[in-house]
Amino acid sequence: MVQTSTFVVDFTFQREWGLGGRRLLIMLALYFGGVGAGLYLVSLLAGFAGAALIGVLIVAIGKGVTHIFFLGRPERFWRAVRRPNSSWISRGFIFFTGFVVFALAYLLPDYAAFSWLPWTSQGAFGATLLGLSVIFAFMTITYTGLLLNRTAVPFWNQSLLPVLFLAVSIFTGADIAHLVYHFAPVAGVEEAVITQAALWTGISTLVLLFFYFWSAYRVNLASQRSVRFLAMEGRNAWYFFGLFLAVGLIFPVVVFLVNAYGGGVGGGLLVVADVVEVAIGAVMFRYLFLRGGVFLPIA
Amino acid sequence: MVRRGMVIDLSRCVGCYSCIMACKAKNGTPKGVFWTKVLEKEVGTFPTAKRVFWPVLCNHCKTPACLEVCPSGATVQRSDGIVTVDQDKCIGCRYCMQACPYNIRVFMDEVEGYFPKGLTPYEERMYGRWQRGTVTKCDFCADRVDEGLEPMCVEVCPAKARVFGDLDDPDSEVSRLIREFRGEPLLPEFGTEPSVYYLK
Amino acid sequence: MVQVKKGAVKEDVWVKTFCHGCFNATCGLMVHRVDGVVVGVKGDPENPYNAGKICAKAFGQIMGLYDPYRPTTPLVRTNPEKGIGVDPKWKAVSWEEAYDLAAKKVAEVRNENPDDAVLSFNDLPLLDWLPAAVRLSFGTKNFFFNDPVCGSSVHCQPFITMSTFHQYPDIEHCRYLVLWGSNKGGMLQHCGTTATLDIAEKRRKKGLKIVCVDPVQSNMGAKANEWVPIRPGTDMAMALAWLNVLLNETGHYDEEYLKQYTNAPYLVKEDGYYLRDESGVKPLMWDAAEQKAKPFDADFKDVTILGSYEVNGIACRPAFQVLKDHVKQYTPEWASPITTIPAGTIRRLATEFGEAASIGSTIKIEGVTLPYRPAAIHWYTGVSQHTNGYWVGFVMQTIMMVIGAVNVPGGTVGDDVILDYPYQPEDKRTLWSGKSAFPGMSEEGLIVTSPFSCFGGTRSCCYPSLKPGTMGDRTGWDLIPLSFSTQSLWAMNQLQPELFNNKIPKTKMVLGFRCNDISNQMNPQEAARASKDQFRIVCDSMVDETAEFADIFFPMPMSFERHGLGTEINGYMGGTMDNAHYCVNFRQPVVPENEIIGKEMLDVWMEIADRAGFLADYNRIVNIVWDLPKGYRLDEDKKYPFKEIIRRFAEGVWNKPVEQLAQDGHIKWRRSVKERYPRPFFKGRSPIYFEHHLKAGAELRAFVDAQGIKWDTSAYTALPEWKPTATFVDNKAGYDLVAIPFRLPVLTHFWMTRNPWLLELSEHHPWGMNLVMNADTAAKQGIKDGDELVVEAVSGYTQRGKVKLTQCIHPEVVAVSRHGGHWDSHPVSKGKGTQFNVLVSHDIKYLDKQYSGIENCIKIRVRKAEEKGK
Repeated sequence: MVQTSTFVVDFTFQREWGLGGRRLLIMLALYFGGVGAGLYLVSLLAGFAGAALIGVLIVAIGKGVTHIFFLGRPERFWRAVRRPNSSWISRGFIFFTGFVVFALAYLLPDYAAFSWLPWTSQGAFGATLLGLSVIFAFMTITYTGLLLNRTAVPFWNQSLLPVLFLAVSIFTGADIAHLVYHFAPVAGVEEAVITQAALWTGISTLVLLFFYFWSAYRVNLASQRSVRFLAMEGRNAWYFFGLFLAVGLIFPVVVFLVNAYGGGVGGGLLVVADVVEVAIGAVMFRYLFLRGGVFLPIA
Repeated sequence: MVRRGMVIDLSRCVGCYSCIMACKAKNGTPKGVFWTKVLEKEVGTFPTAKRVFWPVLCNHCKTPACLEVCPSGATVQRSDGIVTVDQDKCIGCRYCMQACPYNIRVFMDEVEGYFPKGLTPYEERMYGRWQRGTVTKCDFCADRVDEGLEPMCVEVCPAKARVFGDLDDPDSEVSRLIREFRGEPLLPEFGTEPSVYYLK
Repeated sequence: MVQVKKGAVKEDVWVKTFCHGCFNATCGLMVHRVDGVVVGVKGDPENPYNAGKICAKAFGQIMGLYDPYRPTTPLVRTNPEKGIGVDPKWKAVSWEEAYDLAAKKVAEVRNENPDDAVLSFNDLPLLDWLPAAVRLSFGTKNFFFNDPVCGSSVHCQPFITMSTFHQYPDIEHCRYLVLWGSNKGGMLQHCGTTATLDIAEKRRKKGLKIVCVDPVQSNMGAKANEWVPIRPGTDMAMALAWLNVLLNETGHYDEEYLKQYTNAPYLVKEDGYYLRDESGVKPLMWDAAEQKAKPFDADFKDVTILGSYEVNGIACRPAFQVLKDHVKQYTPEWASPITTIPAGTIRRLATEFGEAASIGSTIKIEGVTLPYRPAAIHWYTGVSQHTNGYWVGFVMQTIMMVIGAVNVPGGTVGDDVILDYPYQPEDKRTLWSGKSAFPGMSEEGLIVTSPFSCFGGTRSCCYPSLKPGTMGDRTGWDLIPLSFSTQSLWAMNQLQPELFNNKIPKTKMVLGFRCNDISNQMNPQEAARASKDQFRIVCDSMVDETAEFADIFFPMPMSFERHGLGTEINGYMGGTMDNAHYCVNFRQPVVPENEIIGKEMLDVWMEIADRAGFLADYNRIVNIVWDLPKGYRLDEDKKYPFKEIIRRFAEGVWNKPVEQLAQDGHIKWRRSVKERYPRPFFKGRSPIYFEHHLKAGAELRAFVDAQGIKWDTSAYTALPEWKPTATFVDNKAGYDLVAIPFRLPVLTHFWMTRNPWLLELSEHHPWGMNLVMNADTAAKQGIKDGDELVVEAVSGYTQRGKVKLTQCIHPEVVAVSRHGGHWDSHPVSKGKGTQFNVLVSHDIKYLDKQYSGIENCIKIRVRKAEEKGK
């Protein structure tokens, strides 16, 4: 359906990104792009090459496919690269492609099936690939925030947004890395690095979220409308505080906190914390940000 | 240089929607697609409350936010300031719709006819130009403008609430009206420099 | 105008015709056809009705034309049961078969008693001709024109006071315009385009002030300098208070005008009747110089309109003095609690209005010096559709006459006072072979409407009143002798014949021509019940609610497929740009002739007449009603397609070849000053005192007594007396809100809801097609914007719809859309929106006994749909 609202001067919710049917795919694209690249970064830090590869694949397939099929004209997706000097979508396309290419180039030679490749992950060339892939991973995560910054939706316009995206993406990436480690442990992987990453990015996410909503409420009436809608009105307030914040974010952070400084908790509880954050917290994070996009009234 | 622009006199608009329909009939836009609309705003409280009618359309901004964000090169700005979308190039990402402060662009999810029974002869003739999955918007009736005519919404307006002309010409009626009645664009704080001005 | 463009396409033409997007059908159009397909519409800049401007409805006709649900062949009903939602089980038949079937039935009724049939018709461009041609060739008196929901009760007042069918403000010169229950300029109908343009220009450039009196803020209410949200149905109280302020407080009345042009000086006896000369005919006036009474047409030195006198021992007062004394009781303080408008506001508005009238000033137009009264009240159906609708119009009209603003620059003017038609040879320079188009005068010295303004004199024009006759008219005309149309009684008699002491016979057949009479009754559900038993022949372009009750259905062309000449010039109801032209529009199909669906209504009737054996009668009547001159008359035994009648009419009467009309699209000529502002140029006086009511009332009382019919004649008074409307006294506990109807400019009429373009627009309109309610009132009941509500009326009927809350409506009022509630099978409109008419019932108490208008508001209560009784 073509989306047209009633002919009134009012705050108007954006409806094209993330709402209903194929429009939901963009939410998944943001999710996969963020968590995949986050997983890649955390995995590298923890020396967990297998998980890093999973991260790359999440980005390449998850983000790639959902992005392409979100488009009104998927067959023209390649056109998205044509205006890198002004459009964050064109830049994002480059970051995404760069990340996938460099990360695969860095990781694949270590697998037997790709041993025919004329380079390895070691040495200067490998280090260059690693460095580039890390940079592009960061860019893949943060460009979406920069992209949303350049819209007419005040709720998305705060410069904190890319940082927030970074925090939550690494948080989720860490959770996924931890899950992978839990079910398929590999020797040499530093689990503590993963849990520490999850803990601190989780705390950062909470703090940043608080500041984000706090300042969004003050920026202008449209972003205030967004905050009110997402966090203060009727049923939405319950979802926001109950499901999203308490269950999806605070609970996992507390579990990791207790695990790190309260003497450790059982693996099962950590897995539960991972799962709720990945499946609820991180998903709802994207959904809420898109759902809450409100334009100023024209007059 | 010519810079096409429009002045909309809010004191004249009676909210009859003639412009909306004129636009639809002239451009043959599919079901649900409106390039111009007349929005309504209520001010005050009973008994001094007032309904105010705000015709809106693409502002054909001098610095279009949509142009900046378009990744595919589908959105272009002509030398006379008219901003158009090339249906053949649009990939349907809708970034432009989020960038436009005026929320005026439309994503053509489907190209749908008005009767459940299928397209009418009119629709069959007019809908040929549409590609589903692309973004569309008002083009100031660029084809008419190129023939020396006014956009259809201007020609039809029974209250003469819309005036079309050259903003770069200080002697044009639009320039004169903007000066005389202190015309203002919508949401100037976005820095898009709209070419549509409103008189109160 | 047909011009061919070069290019790859084989055909690219613009065809002139007129718009039939609303009932008025006045705006000139240019329709764009490319390779046989209509691809665009624009206004004809040369047409003075719209000056190149058109509204949404004009474009909507493209969708109407190509509506795939239009029937293409005649249909015959095979299911004898009729009712709402009952499938007629149509059988498609050939035209020949349908004509034969219809002719058989028509001949049967015609031979037995033609008055057993009612003609139901609502196609304004053919109003002057089709009803007369069908009705008279068939032989029935009965005619129905959707009046229950129409503004028909707005015509009597201009007939009597101005000799025109319709009046409108002289926007060109007006400086203070009161839109009272009127949305003039709000693009609903009545030449909205030019009114909108005119008003917008004058507001912006000349500071025209607009006051809008309306319970709900209409589109023009939004443009008004002041919106006066009055309680529905109480307009007469405020108008009487205005009159009192003008006459007894501020003294704003135009003595000269009243003396010369009204019956203000007529001496009135204590019993209310005029004091007349010895012949008993001519009313007397008092000459203050000679200190004696003389017949109105004698020479007077000093006419007086004030004081009280004794003539031959009989106490009397000039009519104006009687009026002045009479309205003293109606103070703003009295009107305030009735209308909910503060007394101070009423007094201020009346005073502003009186001051704006600039009594005494003159203006020179085209070399002629005329009175200049730049203040006008344009009142319309908002005030007239009430049980006191007949009277409220007269009070407003009286205000206009008191300030001397009728038929002069700046005030209100008529649209069909015509002296000259320039396109005929000198020896034929009267329009329509001598039928006068200038006001006449009765023996009493009052205006008699020209036959031209009154459908060639074939219908009553309210004064002199009709004499009650035989109760033969199925629409009960005998009971409404002051009326110009009476159709509200038709369904009432079908449902409750005992109300009329069973004196009105039931209707056996309805001949329906483009008229959705069932939906446009006081209550469509009741009207449907009343319509079960008649044989119905329906000619229409869509199968609407009424057509679903048809026994035989004939498809007819849509507006872009029709031939025609007219809107008749006396029916255009609204004036051309600046009131400066007369114009008659020409209509021609814009699609190729071989693609036209259906047959024109009169072609169908001609075939029926031929087969039923009265073709000669039909042709004879056509000659008369079209006034065809020698050389153009129809032979009695031949068949003439409608297109050919139009050709003869164009060439014989208008002296224009159709080929030229096809190019021009219309015939226009300038109005002279005498035609635009005729008041100083004719003799008949306008009444401000309605003595003829007394006689009509007495005759009617005698008649109804003899017939054994209980009938309220108490409003047959010579002066307006405040009487609350039926709704106002409908005090049922808990029903503390009032429902009124509202319409949107994009739809205007019920039938337009089937148009998917226009429907889509109304679905995006904030008020939409449902309910509009005051936000504060709603808050008290816990109702939120967008809630689904059930409206329950005191009649027991309900409507359900989504509510829009606003501050722009009277707190006691819920406005209910009149566009929705379609039950016919058309998939675009079916089941959408609310229908106001359903709330009112065919209860005689809701009938304006003076005029047969109906109360278009009703007491209601609302509740949220999910609450009890779901």
